[in-house]
Amino acid sequence: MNIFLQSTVIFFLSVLAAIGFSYYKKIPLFPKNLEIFLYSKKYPEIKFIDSEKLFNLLKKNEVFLIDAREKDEYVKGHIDGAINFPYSEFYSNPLKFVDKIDTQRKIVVYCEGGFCELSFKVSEILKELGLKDLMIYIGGFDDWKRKNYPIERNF
Amino acid sequence: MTGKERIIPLREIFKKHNLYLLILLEIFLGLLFVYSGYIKLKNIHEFALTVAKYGILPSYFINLFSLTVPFLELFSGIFLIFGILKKGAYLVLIKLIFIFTLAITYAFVSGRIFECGCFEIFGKEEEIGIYSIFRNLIIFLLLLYGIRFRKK
Repeated sequence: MNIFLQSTVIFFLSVLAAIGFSYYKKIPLFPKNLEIFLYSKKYPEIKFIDSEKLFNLLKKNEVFLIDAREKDEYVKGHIDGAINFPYSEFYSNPLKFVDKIDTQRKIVVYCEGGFCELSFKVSEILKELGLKDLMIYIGGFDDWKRKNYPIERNF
Repeated sequence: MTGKERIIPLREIFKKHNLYLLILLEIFLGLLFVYSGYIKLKNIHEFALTVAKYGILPSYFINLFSLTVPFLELFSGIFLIFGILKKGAYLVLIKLIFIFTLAITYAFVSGRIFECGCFEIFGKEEEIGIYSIFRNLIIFLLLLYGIRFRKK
């Protein structure tokens, strides 16, 4: 058997094994929302919210929205009504920020989107500090902008 | 004895030593890739997340790719150790390590540092860096060395 045929055999064997493994472990080969699927496996205790629900909650003033990105990114543009908790500062002194949180409302954290993990890191700390009713807007600022929801800029 | 007669046995000894070296190299590379494939399968969601963070593949293919790669490593590693479809196993691993190195270099150059999804050593994932690129290049050269001798 020549080298290319051999490698093709190995390739097909691997694809078959992958399909079998995905069936056995109940892993969808083509999930609808990959980000939510993968992050819900990594952080099983965290709840997620989509842009439509977030927009409705913001309209009713039922949500305290945290932007976990750095200050310079926040200034360039953020979701209307979001408060900036830059992760680098928040990490070193979370108590300085926690006092600002309105615990009567639901807390939603977001970052850039596209597999940025700052929102998860911030919410992990908030959870350790005893805050409940936390949610992550996984689409982040990229998704919000793309869907033309209101944004705010501070120049 | 003529000079010519002395050279022939020396060459034979050299060939024999090279063969032992090659077998040792194949066992080493085989075990390395079996381990790498096993670790990826053990933490398949983490690996898929790492693949997604590279931002190279469309999200639609990430799960299929992340599930196939560990089996490619696992089968090629086993075949390399046991001498089955050996040349094909070399070719698969060369292609894989080439793609991995390009992806790591791309992420490193674009300044996105996260776990590289390569090997987990003592339970710790390594971050993308010069070290991971350099390590991959060495593995790539070892694979090229192996396939060169197996092709003869």
